[in-house]
Amino acid sequence: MLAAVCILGGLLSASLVRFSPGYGADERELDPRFSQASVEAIRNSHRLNAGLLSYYGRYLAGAVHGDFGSSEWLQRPISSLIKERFPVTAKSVLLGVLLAWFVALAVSLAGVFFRGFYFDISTTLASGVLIALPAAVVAIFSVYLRAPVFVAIAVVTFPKLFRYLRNLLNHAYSQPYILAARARGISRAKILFHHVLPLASPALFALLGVSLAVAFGAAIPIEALCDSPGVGQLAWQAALNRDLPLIMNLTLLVTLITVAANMLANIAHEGAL
Amino acid sequence: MPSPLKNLALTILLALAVPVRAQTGGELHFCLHGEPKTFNPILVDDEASENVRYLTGGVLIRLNRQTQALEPALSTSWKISRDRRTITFHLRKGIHFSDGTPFSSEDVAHTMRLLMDPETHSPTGDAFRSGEGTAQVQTPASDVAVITFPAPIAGLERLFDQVAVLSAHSPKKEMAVLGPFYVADYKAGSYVLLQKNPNYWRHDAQGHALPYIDSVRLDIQRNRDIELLRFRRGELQLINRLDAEQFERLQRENPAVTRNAGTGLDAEELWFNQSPAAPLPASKKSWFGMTEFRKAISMAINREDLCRVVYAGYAKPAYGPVSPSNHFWFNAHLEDPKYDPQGALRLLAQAGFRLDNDTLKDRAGNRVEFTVVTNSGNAAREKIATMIQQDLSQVGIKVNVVTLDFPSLIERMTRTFDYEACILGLVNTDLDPNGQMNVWLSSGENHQWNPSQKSPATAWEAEIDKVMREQATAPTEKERKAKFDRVQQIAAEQQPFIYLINKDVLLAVSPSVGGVAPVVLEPWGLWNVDTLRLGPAPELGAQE
Repeated sequence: MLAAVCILGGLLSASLVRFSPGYGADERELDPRFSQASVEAIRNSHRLNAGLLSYYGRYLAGAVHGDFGSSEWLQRPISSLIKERFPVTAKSVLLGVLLAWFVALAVSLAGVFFRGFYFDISTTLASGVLIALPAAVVAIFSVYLRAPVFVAIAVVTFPKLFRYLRNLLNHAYSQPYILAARARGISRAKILFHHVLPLASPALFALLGVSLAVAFGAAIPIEALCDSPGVGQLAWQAALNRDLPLIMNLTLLVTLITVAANMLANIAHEGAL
Repeated sequence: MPSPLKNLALTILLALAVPVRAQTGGELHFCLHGEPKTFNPILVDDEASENVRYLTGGVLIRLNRQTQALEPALSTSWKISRDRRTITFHLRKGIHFSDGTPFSSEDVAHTMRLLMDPETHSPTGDAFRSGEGTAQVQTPASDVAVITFPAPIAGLERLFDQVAVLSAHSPKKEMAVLGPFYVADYKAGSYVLLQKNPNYWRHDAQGHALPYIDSVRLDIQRNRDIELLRFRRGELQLINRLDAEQFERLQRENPAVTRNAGTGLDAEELWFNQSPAAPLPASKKSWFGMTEFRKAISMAINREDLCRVVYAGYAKPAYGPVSPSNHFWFNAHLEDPKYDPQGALRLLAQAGFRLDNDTLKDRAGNRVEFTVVTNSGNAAREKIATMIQQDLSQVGIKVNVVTLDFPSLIERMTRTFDYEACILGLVNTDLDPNGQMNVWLSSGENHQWNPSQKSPATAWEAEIDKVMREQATAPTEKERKAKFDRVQQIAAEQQPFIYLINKDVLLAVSPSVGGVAPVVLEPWGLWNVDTLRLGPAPELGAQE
């Protein structure tokens, strides 16, 4: 299943790039210093990948043996490009998701514990405003405020996470047995850790998968704008340069991560049930 | 305060003050606007790598960016044979690469071999390729290198300004350099850190080793607004080539940091697609092929307004392929055409066009209308296109403006020829017109208005072909200049490229950097990097 989704995703992204206008055009062709032979060589290097299905077949055959091809734009092996940049993105995304979860949990729990009209309305408003902000705008703010990339990722992930989390917790706390537990005078912490979280955990795991996917999606424009040397920045430039092999590998990577995160969430969900 | 304590405080203050005041050391901080694609000087073709090459590479002959004259660098002298095929270099002795490997004529031979290998496809090497065959290098002594090319090369010695010498023996290969700095660290997508080359050959007049600066940090930063923001915060000390709007803003805030190096070499230009392969209606093809039509368009464009409105006055009208900043090659005898919409209409009337209710129509009654394409994301070009749209509406021509992303634009220019007119700036890094051979020859790939012709389509293109070839083989620079003056004249008469403006080269330099003398040639503010000094004034505006 995982493999099928990835292969299909890769093929889709490869066809998008291959058939986008300007595929195979290289800025170097406008450089008058190059001789005819060199311009021809530059063009040929792009033609090599022009047959979509044959390219994709060759790519998959290579990938099985650990050869992911070379970037047309940077002329370097893709595996080394990704190896350099993936840790940067992974760190930003993980920190961003952690921060988003921490804030979202804190705010939703505060909402549950101190039920109040004004608190409720202000958090709803705040998350509403944040959810309407495109990732690129958040990125620009983060540049002006000198905030690290993971904070921008957290800001984008937080509102989506928060709304769901709050409903989940509100629902859990309105259960009759929780009311009963509170009536018995059981401490808040105990109720939270022994009764609420275990019950909500399958949904929380699913939410974790979704939030990872959201954060990864947000990382691309944010890294591109903040010039953070991660996979997102690489993907952005690869797209601008019509770098077919690089975009395809990056799409596959993101697909793999998203699908894997969702699968883990599913497994956790089913395991908990 | 008791006096011993006071003294102590004073001593500490002095001790602290001295290193700050020192005129050597420190780290210069500025931005590259793209990922350097290679550190191999032979393969350099992008601006970011070119910047690194200039800062790290040692060359045999250096073009002084300020005087535009050639100066000895790693060679103390050179001689070109009468047939202009052979150049003999006498090399500086006792020089070492950054890693300690000694420098000799063998390194020159090694570099030329790699450079001229046809499989390398090096733009630097391609410039030396004037005929079939490869270059031969002889090394009669460790400090003499004789290079013989298969055919004469115009402006041969100038080409060596781009050839950074590689070591034949160093285990570090291209990372062993002869320039003022070497690449000490590189983090892809983030920065390049250069450290002072302890073995750099140049010394100042007092015999102090150069460069004065210890290290240079080049942050990779594509977003120019963020670059400016960081400059204003004092995180960067220099910005090469600001756009006019940013320059204006900075000038209002702090005029002490803005520097205008003068009119640059790059031109923005408009041209009509004259390719017979273009999928355009016959009527349009016939307009674009008419000299009168192109000249009338050129006359109807108000270039002064372009400079004033689009570039806030930081540009000069351009009328030909050579910028007036190119002292030697500029043809000063050509008369600058005046902005003259009435004259344009008269010229159009001579060619059979007529104005009908403020609408220009051709002989067959077709309305004169065309679409200008340019690359998206370039605010200045988009504004130029809009201004031209307005100017041409004065002579009854309807212009539509379409922006395309760069790859799609290149596809249309070089493969499908599916466009009517285009505004673009073709980059001009070379002073010598021989570097523009592929632009002027009708068989050239970069002969944008009608590229790769089997035989010249028009008599004037045939003449340009002939004069350009003669220019390349003329024995003296003076004769070459006379030939190229003729090319400039034909270009002015025929307007295959309608040159619009040359923009000024605008920089921002922190007052903490001493010795900056910005020039219009690449690398602009950094050409004399080895004699730059970093002083105090870490905060912007704090001056000595």
